[in-house]
Amino acid sequence: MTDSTPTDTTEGFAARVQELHVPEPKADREALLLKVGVALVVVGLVLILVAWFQASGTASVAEQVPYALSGGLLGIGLVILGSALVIRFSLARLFRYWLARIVYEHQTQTDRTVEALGRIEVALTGGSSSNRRPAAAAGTDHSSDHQTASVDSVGAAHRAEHSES
Amino acid sequence: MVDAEDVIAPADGDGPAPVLELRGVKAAYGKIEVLHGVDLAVPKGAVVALLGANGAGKTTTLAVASGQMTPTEGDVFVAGRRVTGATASDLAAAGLCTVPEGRGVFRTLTVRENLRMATYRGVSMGDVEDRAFEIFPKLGERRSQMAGTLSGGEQQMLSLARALVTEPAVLMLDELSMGLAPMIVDDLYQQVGRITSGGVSVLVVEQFARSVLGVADVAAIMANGRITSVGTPAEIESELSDTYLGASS
Repeated sequence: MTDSTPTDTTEGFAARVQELHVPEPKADREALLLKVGVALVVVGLVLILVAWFQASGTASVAEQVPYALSGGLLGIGLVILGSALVIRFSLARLFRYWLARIVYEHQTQTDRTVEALGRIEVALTGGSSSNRRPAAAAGTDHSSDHQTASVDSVGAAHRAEHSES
Repeated sequence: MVDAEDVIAPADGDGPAPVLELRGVKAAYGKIEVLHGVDLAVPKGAVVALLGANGAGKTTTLAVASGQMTPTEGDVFVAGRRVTGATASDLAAAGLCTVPEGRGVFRTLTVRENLRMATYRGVSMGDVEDRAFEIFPKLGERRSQMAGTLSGGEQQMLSLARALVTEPAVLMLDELSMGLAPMIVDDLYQQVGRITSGGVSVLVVEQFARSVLGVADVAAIMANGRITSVGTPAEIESELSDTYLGASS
C-alpha cells in the first residue's frame, strides 16, 4: 500500500491540477492562422516567381497570358490574403500587449499617487495618522462631519438672530 | 454535511472551491446540442448522484467532466482551476478517475493483468493487488482468470477496484448498477460509501436510483440536457417517478 493520507491526496491533487496543461483555444487558433498567413505569402511569392520564370522563357504574348493568369494572379491573391492574416493577428498581439502595458502603467501610477497622498497625510498630521483610518474613507467621513458641523453652526446663528429680533 | 446549495452554488462564493464544478456547460454531438447549460458542483468528500432517464444527458455530462468531450460553451473547474480543454489522460493522471458504462475491463486479460493497468499513477503492482483484494476478496480468488469469463458483478468489482487503487481524488462512476443483481449493486455502493470517508469525492451517474440514493449526500435529477432538480436523497426520491414517467420537463 502507498502511505499517502487523504490530506496528501487532496493537496497533491490540487498541486497536480495547477500543473495541468490547459490549452487556450482562442490563442491556439490565432497562432495557427498567423502561421497559415505566413505560409500563404510564401506560396504566393513562389507562384509569382514560377510564373515570371515560365513567362520570360517565351516571346509569344499568347503563351505568356496563361502563366500570368494561373501563376501571377493566383500568387498575388495568395500574397494579399496571407498578408491580411499576418497583419490581422500580428496587430491583435501588438494591441493586446499595448493594452496590458497601459493597464500596468496606470496601476503603477495609481500606486505612486496613493503612496504620495499617504506621505502628505502623515506630514500634515505630524505623524499621528497611525490611529486614523485610511485616507479615502476618513476623508469622506470628515467632510461629512464638517458639513454637519457647519450646518449646525449656521442654524445656531440663525436662531440667535431671530431671538434677538 | 453537504447541502443541496453546495451542488449548484458557484465556486467563487465564500466557501472552499468544489473539487469538480461544471458552469453553464453546453455540449453537442455534431450540430445536435444535448447539454443546454449544466451547472453542477461536487464538494470535497461528497457523493453526488446524477439521476435521470435514458437520454437525459448524464453520460455526456460525465464525458465533459472527465475531459473526454470539450463543451461548446461553459467551463469545467477542478480544484478551483479552469480545465476546459485539458485532455482526459492529463486529468486522469492528476487524479480524476472514471469508471465507464459497460465496465471497461480487458476481457482477454487476466484479473492481475487488468489490475496492472492501475499502476499508471506510480502505485506499485504489489500495492495495487493488496488493496484490490482487500476491498474485493473475490477478485483475489480469481486473480489468474480471464476477465471476460468473470460474472457481470465480478467484472464491475474489477473495474471499480482498478479505479480505487489509483487513489483518485475524484471518482466518476457511470451506470455502476447496469445489468447487475440488486444485492451486488448494494455491495458495490457500500464500497463507494466507504471510500468517501478518506476524502474522495464521487460523482455517480445512474439510471436506477434506489441503491445510489442510499449512499449519496446530494442528488440531482437531469432531464433533456438540464439539471431540473437538486436536493437531499429523500427529497429527490419523491420526484423520481415524475421524472421517469415524463411528468417533469
